[in-house]
Amino acid sequence: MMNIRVKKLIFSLFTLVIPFVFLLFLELILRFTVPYNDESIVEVVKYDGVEWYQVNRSYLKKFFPNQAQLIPEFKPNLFKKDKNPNIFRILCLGGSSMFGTPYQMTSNIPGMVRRQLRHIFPDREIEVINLGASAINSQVIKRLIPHLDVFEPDLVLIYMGHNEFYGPDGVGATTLEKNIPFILDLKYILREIRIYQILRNWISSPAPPQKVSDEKNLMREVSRGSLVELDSDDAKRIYRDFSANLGNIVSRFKKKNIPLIVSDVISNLEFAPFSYPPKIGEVDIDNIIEEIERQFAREEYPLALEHLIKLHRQDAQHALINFWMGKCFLAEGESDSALKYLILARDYDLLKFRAPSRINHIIEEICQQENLPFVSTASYFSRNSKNGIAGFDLFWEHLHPNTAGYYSIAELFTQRILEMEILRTHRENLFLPLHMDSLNICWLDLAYADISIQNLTGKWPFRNFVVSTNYLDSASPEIFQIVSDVYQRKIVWDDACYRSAAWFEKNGEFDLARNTYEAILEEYPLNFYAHYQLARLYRDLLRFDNAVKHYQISIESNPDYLFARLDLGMILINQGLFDMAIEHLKKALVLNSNQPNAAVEANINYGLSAAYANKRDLETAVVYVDRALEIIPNYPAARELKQGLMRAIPKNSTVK
Amino acid sequence: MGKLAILKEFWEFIKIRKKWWLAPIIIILVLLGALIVLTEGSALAPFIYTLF
Repeated sequence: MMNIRVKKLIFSLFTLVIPFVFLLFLELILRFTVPYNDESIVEVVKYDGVEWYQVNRSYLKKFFPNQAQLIPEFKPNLFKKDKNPNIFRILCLGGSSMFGTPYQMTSNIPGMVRRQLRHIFPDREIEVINLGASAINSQVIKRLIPHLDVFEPDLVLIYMGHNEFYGPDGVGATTLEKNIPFILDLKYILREIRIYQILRNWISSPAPPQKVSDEKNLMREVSRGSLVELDSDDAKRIYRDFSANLGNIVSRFKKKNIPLIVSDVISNLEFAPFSYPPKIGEVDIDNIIEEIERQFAREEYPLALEHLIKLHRQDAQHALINFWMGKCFLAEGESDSALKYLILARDYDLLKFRAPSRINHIIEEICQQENLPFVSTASYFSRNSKNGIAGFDLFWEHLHPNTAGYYSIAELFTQRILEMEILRTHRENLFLPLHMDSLNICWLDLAYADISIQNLTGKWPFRNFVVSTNYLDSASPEIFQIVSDVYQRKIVWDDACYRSAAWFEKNGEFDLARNTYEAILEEYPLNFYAHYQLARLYRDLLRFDNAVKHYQISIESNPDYLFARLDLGMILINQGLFDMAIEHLKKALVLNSNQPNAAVEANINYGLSAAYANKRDLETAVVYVDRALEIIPNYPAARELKQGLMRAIPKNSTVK
Repeated sequence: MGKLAILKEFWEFIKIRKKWWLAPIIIILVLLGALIVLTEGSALAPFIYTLF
């Protein structure tokens, strides 16, 4: 007989195992029954007859606090599920600057790199996937890497570093997380588990939206809790983590033999610091700066500098004093000194929205250690800016580049790609110029940027900041409404593109309409509807060769799209390609029978009649024109055709 | 009913009915709960996120 102690032991073990078995079963049941939209980084979709992976825009949810009212999202990029050998796929990683804030479409680094490469390598299928998102930092990107195998990238571009302080697990990390780094990994592992997700939703349910009246106080709280001194313990931890994370990211790609190009980051040095100590000694800083501003306005730079240097001796780390010293030196023509103080002003800004210099040093160090292709956006911007100081010529506000800024970064990355000779050049390395048309940047994207940046800079921590919104200012009320609706998410982006293009067409601004369709096709090269719209526009502009090309692509992408076949059939008749026209029109007739539309049916029959008439098959032509007239008896073109046919038919014919 | 009240009531149930074998489940869930609370970060932070 079994010893009673052994029995007790087995019973205890059994008791201990039960809860784990229970939790395991519960987890399995939940996985099959409770859908979570942030589970996988991509999902399979089918558009235009092709299977694609689409980036799951909600994937970042798990990296942000449950109470967050605004969770950053990825762009829902599409890329082919089956990667053929002709595809060259680039993955772009980074924060909002890589995403392209405030632009939504092609006016960003990935969009411009793609456009340049498609231009230089017309025989290759260039796919550039934008995995940049607002607020994400190296903590997030490091944890994305294990999930990126599905992308099968040929090259990775990295532009990150501005979000290290205020992105996930930055200065907002809890004390536990700051002191026990392992907790961060554990937290994200557990967030993949369904039981944990449900428990998390139950414990920290999303906060109700804040009332407008609460906003000011909340924002004051945020700023109070988020001020970071350059040499504080928080800052040191951020640098340590950034260095470790970047090293980790780089080594993982290297292990998989995926080449990568890393850039340092750049911000607007002409932008005044957001936050600084309110006093120097006993003196209120605002009073001091008022006086400096007056001297500056009177162009009394030496006097202002004398004053500032004295203050600098008292507090060399005061961001605003450094900023004004930089401005005065710049006005005096001393660019080197100006640059030095403006960099210090950015670094000592207590609100660390712009990456301090140390972040760039870390990037450069790691690239050197790992022998990685490195591009210095900071140096490039400096070389291309007046007095060597990257300023408002290339930026919207403190951080986000404007179109010219993004163009410069994209140019730098593209140049490096060419130097690496990963792709064999088919054309001269001729870069496309910065122009809306050549880069396929549409009006909507530019106007959206206006409205977005206006909104962004109208709130804390911006004060009296005015941006010039050229595209929005010149917009008529109808088109303004479209931009406003898409900004407020009342309509989706694609819809807004088509609506704006239609408006441009209606108002005779055909280039802007064409440019909009081309921008859509830059993002979705096989989109049958955009090809159809572009073809229709070319047809209306009597550019039939271009129209035929796009109608054909539209039909290839979606053979069941009736209108492309109908329009193409009509053009082919005019081009004398009657058999091809008949083929498309007959197919259109079949497609129309699925969802009958009398007017369309009459139109197709009329087209068929015209095609047969041109082929001198007059009897068949009469049959089709009669069908058209049966549907619409007073169809003028059909009546005219019928009369012509009757005149052409010999009198002894049986045709009536 | 408050979240803590549910846990408290469940604990009473285990004690009175002597369903001690359920205790590990509760302990695990409480530990996970504690971890969630201690790693959730500041709810204020999202205001910053809109900026960059």
